[in-house]
Amino acid sequence: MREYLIAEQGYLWTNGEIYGSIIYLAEGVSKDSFYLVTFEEYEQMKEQEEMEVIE
Amino acid sequence: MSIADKLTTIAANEQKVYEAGKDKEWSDFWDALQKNGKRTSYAYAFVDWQAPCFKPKYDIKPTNCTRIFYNFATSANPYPSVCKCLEDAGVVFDTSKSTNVQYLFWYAYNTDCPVISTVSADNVDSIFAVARYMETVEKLILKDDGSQTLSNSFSQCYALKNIVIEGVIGNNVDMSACPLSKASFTSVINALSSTTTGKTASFKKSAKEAAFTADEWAALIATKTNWTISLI
Repeated sequence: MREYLIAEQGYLWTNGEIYGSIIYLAEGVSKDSFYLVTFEEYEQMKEQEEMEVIE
Repeated sequence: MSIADKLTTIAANEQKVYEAGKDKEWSDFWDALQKNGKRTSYAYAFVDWQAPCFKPKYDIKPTNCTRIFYNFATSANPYPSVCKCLEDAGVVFDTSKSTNVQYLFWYAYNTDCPVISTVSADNVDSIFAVARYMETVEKLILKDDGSQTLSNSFSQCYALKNIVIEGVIGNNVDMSACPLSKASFTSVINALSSTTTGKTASFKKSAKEAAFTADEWAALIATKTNWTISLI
């Protein structure tokens, strides 16, 4: 069974690159590089990213 | 033939003459637009095009098709099928020689697209970005070496349910906007490179929960333990 992280409601795990309420870690990837952000913070980041796609 | 007879004949064939004129106009228009079938650069070719008028005369085999369907069919109701448009026109859309496929369906309002081969392109960045009504991609063919990047390839693809991937995904892929079907999840995960390391794949949590039991999902992602996989 692979290692995974589950975030509580309203939070997401991230390592600054990938976000998820559940993250299944690849072999060799440490939990230590992940931290929690709020869903609102994620939404703000996503909105910014989408604006960049839209140009 | 007397003038009266001629006028009678013309009147009897008025609709045929009208249709023949229309056909000629359509033919001349597409001859010019598609350079008598020899056009290869289709960048921005059908920007803002509305579906009822999209009846190409020749196969579309571009070497560059960036933004070819940008803003396609925005005023259609219901949103159209590009596959049906191409089928009705009897033409093929073959992107296998295209070196630029970025933003191919940018802001397009169509609900599907035919097989898209990207084997001649270095990347497939933003290929379906902001195609918010795209439900089905018949097949996306990638290179076999996993070298292509997929930055924002599926950004804001809020309707994308059905997709088949052929080839190898070797870089980060974010499909967290897509309500993928079980078959599509399986196709995408099967396409993830078995050898690359340090890469990530993101999916929509509610779609995964609708499609798989916990055991099925565990078995599927167990085949790609070299990928960090997230559910949002």
